Amino acid sequence: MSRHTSAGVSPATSSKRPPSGGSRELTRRARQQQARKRAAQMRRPASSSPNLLVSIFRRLPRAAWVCMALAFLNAACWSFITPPFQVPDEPSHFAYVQQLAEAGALPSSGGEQFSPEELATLADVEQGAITLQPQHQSISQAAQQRHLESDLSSSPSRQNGGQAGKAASEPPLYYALETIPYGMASGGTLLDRLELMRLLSALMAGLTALFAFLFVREALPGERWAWTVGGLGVACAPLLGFMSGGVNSDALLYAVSGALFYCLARGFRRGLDKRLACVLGAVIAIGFLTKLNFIGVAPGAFLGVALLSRRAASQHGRQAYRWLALAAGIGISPVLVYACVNLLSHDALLGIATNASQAASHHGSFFGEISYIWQFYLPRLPGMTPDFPHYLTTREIWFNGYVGLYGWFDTAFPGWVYDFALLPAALIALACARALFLGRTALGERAGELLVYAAMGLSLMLLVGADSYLKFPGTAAEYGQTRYLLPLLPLLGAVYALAARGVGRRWGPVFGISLVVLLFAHDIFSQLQTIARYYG
Amino acid sequence: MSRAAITLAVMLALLAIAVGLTLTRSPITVLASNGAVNQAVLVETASAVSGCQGAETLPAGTSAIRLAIGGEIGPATSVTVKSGGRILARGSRPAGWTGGTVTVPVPRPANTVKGVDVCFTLAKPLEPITIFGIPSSGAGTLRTSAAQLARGRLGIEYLHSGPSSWLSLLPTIAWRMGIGHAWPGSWIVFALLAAMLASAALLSTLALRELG
Repeated sequence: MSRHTSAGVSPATSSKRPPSGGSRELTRRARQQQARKRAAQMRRPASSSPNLLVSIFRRLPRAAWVCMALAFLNAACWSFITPPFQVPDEPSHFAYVQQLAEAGALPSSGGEQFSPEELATLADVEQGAITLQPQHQSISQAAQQRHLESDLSSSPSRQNGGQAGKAASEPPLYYALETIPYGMASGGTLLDRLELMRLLSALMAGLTALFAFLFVREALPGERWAWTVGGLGVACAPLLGFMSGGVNSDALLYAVSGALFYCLARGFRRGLDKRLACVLGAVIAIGFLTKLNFIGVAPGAFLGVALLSRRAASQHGRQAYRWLALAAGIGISPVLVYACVNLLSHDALLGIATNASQAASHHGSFFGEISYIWQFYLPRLPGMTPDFPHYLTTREIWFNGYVGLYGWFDTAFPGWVYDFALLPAALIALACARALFLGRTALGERAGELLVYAAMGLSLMLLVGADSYLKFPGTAAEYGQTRYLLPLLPLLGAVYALAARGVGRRWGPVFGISLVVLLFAHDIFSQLQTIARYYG
Repeated sequence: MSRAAITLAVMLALLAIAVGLTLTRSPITVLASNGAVNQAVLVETASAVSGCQGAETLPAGTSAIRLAIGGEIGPATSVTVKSGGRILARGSRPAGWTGGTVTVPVPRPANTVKGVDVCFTLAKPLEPITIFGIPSSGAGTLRTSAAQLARGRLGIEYLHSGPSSWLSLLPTIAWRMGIGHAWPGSWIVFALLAAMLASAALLSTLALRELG
């Protein structure tokens, strides 16, 4: 798929003289050979899933691999920079994995009496003193390190009695995967296990960037150079690196959402078939098994499968609706199985998640909730009761949160950085708007597809806003954290790609390169700011 | 050299210069403190609040004042330092800060002034805020517009740009980064540097390949 397929056999570096025709002939032959190989790969039947996977991965363009590698490297750097348990809710997520790995059972309580081993480590790394206290830095004395090592080597108990804090009600897939690095380092200290687990999350960041690239390629196929802008933009996102550099099920949610966006875009571009329906169902099922927040993305995804089936029906008749049923059945199956198991064992229908849903009992009026959710994201409209007086949530929570708020939201840039960031953001928005305006005809033709992406985004935002409303007015914006919207990262990748295209073919690549380096700089300075906060 | 290559070279050079300039600057450190550590909650309120505390010393060169006021979504905050009705320094911080303290930048005073009043104003917060300090009934206790849970002195720290640059502190930072992690040691810094350079190389190669 690469544009420069003959790069590896450049005559300048070859010790052999070309048989005839000089370097152009050699290049032409090499290209033909590559094309034949690719065609053969395309024709090869994908009889079994390992073959299918190998075939899919072989066909990935090199740019996609580079985006994936870059995102992994980025998140791996974050995993070493951020002190242990300074990623939001990391103590709870670690406790969940420990419960699964050590007791072989799901957590049974949202309490925070973690294992003696974890509690000792939290105390020794001074997690409580550092969190939300920017004046307190990470431990830095040799004596503190010796004390930590002494406690870690004294083999305190790893049993936490089923308590996993805030993470307890989450589905188990991410934590089950994390038991692999946990087990690999089980002979080491807790910090060894934590770091390996963080690196697995970093791999998930790589997958997120990979799927974002592939999504942009399917959704905006016209200009291949713009795919790279979108993919690199996502790979360099510091918030993705920070969150995926820690132990948090958000890391897998981002990757699964990326896969979902890609599959839907692929369906809209190439049409639905049985295989894609199965893959879509499987991705939705994985999403449900990953994090409760996936509920926010799922309605848009089901709408997407329904629209794809309707479109496929014109060619494949009723069979297309069987694919819809297949995708929906596979997608919803984890929820049904979980509910059935709970019913049979006389537990609450949704297990421990039931407690969370009961706690989330409605309060206030319907219009009050709608007004709150609107103001949670956007400036207040006339007639609305001010829920965030003197506070522009769009800017203060969401924009500034994306520009930079790390650790437990206690690591920020100086104020001028957020003001400065408005400039490139405005340029990107303008260039993107121009691209959309120029391509308005195509937009109309793809209204259904756009509706699906909008539904996925809006329903996720509704979920986050509605959950926050449940805690309002006790807390103003409980879930007002930009990380909750990162499942929509592929759309941001598309915005970057569109912005580069909006500048035009002549200057687009120049704009694209500038944008990508700017985003890389954003990441570098975010890491430096975090280093300054914890170690400076 | 193509236009894309020139752009990439210029942008990377700008990035290197920006990082270099940042490293030549100094980190913010504590110049002086009034010693009122966070021992007690003096005020807890969900309303706009203002307050003043006397018997403070404003050191010369102070570039920011850190108040022991905590909040999840901190309100707009302003600080004024006064002496005998004369304003010595004034600064503000927009809403949205998070944590157990709020740091407000102020213009640097040339001289140290003793016996000043440090006054602050907090806009109506979205969520309750807490003012911390030490219980005290002596002179110079905090006076606020809100009802106080306890009399005492608010914790205040005076910050400035330290004497050492980030660059000269690199060995210390490298040592600190090697503490409290898995596989401790300063090797982490070199690994990070290598990863960062590898990232830059990957990005550049791909950008030139696809956009060049």
